[in-house]
Amino acid sequence: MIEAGSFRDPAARVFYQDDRVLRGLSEEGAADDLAAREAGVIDALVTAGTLIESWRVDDVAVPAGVPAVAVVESIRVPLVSYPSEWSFSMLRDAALATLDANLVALESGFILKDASAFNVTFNGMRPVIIDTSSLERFPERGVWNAYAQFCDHFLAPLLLEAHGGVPVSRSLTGTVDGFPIADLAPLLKGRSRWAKGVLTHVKMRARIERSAKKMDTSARTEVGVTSLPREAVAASISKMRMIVAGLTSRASSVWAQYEAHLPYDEEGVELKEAFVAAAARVVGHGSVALDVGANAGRYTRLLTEKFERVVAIDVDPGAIDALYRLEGDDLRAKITPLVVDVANPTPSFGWRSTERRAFFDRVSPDLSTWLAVLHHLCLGTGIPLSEVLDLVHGVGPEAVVEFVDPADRMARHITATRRDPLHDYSLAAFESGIAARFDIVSSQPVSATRTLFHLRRR
Amino acid sequence: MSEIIGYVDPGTAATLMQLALAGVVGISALIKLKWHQIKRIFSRTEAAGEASVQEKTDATSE
Repeated sequence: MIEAGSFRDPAARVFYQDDRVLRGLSEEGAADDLAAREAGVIDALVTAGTLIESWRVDDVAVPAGVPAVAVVESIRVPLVSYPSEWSFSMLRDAALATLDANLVALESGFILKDASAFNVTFNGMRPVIIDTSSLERFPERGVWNAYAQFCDHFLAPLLLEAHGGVPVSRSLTGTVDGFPIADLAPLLKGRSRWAKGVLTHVKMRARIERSAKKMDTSARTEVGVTSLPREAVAASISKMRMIVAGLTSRASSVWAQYEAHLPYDEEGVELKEAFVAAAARVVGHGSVALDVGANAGRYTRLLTEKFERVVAIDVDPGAIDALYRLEGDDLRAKITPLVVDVANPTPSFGWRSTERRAFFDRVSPDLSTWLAVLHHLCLGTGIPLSEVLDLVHGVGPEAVVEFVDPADRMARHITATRRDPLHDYSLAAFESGIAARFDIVSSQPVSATRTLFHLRRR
Repeated sequence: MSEIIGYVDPGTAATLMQLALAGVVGISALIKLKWHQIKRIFSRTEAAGEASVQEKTDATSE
C-alpha cells in the first residue's frame, strides 16, 4: 500500500508491506541518502534521538509508481499524530527537534530540505523526525530553503499561542501547510509587537513580502541565486532556536493547576482505580490502550502497567500539556498525550481529503477507557446515547465505560442551564444499549450515581 | 549538473529575509566581539590592573 500523504517529495515515496514502513527513492533521493549515510549524518541524528532509525533493504518488491533506485526501511511508530493534535509544549519540542537536526546536519554539509511539522511525530513523548529522506547535501554556500515552511508550520502557531492565547491545536486544525505567518502581522499588536521573533519574522517579513511583490523577474532571479556561507545559515538557525526555546504559552499559568491537583472531588477514586487495573489485567496481553478524556492522566498512568503504549486524549490542550510534562522514563516512553475532541475527532484532510488520515483510522486500541466521558457527550454535547455506544463499539474490542446517572451532582451541573430537550439518557437505556452490542465482563457501582462496566465487543 | 530545485520553494521574500537576518546576526556577533573592547574603554581606570594580569596569562599560555 502506498502512503497517500507522501507524494510531495519527488525523491521519495512511502509504502507499506505487512508491518513494514518502506521508502522508494529516486536517483537523487538515493544519492542524497547514500551520501548522508556515508558521512555519518544519519547515525548522528539517530543517536541524538531526533531522527527515526532507518536502513537500506533489497528484499522488497517496489509497487508500481514508486521510485525504485533504492529502498529504505524505517522503524514503525505505533501512532503517527498530527500537529493539530499537539499541545503548545509538544509543537515547541517538535520545532526544536527540527532545528537541532538541521544544526547537526549542517556540521557535516547536509540540511533538511523541508521543515513540515508533519515530518515529526511523537514516539511516546519524544518528538522524532520520521521523514528519513529529508536530508540533502548542503554545499559551502546556500540558503535555508525550508525557512518559510518552518515559519508557517512552527513559529506562527507558537507565536499565536504565546502572545494571542489561541491554542496551536486550534490554529492548525484542518491545515496541511501550517498557519500562514503573514496572517499574524495584523493580529500581534501592542506589547507583543516587540516580543522576540515578532519584530523580525512577522513584522519585518510582512514588509519584505510587500516590497518583494513589486520586484521584476530579473531582480527576483538575482535574489534566487544569492547565497550565504554555511556558517551564516547555521547562525540563523541557532538564532531561531533561541526564539522558539524562549516561547511559553500565554495560557500556561492557568494550566499549572492541573499539575497541582487532580480533577474536582471525584467519587470512588480507589474503586475506579482497582476496576481499571483489573480490566487492564484481563486484556493486558495487548499493545495499545486509548484513554478517552484522560484529563490529568490518573488512569492513563495505571494503564501503562499492562500496555506498551497508551494514547491519552482530551479536548483540553492545558490538560494535555500538563500530561506531556509528566516525569518518569517509563511513563514518557509509553504515553502519548494528544489534543483530540472525541465529539469532533481529527478528520481526514489535505489533498483529495486523503493526504492525512482521520484520528480513529490511525489508532486501533486493544482497550479503550471512557471514564466520566459519556455524560459529557450525551448531556453536554447532546449526542444520543446509542451513537456514543456505536463509537465505543467501533473503536476497539474491549472497553471500560463509566455510566454517570443523570441524578449525579456533575451530571446535574452540566444540564443546569440546558433548555432544549435531551435524548433518552438513563441507566435503563444504557443497559439495553450495551446488551445489543457487548458482553459484560464485569461491572461495579463506585458511588450511588456511578457504575463501571468492562465491555467486550460481541 | 544543473542545480536541483527543491520541492519546497524558498520564495523571494523568504530568501531576502534570510539575507537580512544574516546581516542582523552578523552585526550582533560583531557587537558581542567588540563589546569586550568597548567595555574596556569605559572601565580602563578600575580594570587596568586586572587587564594587565589578563595580558600576562595570555602571554604565558601562548
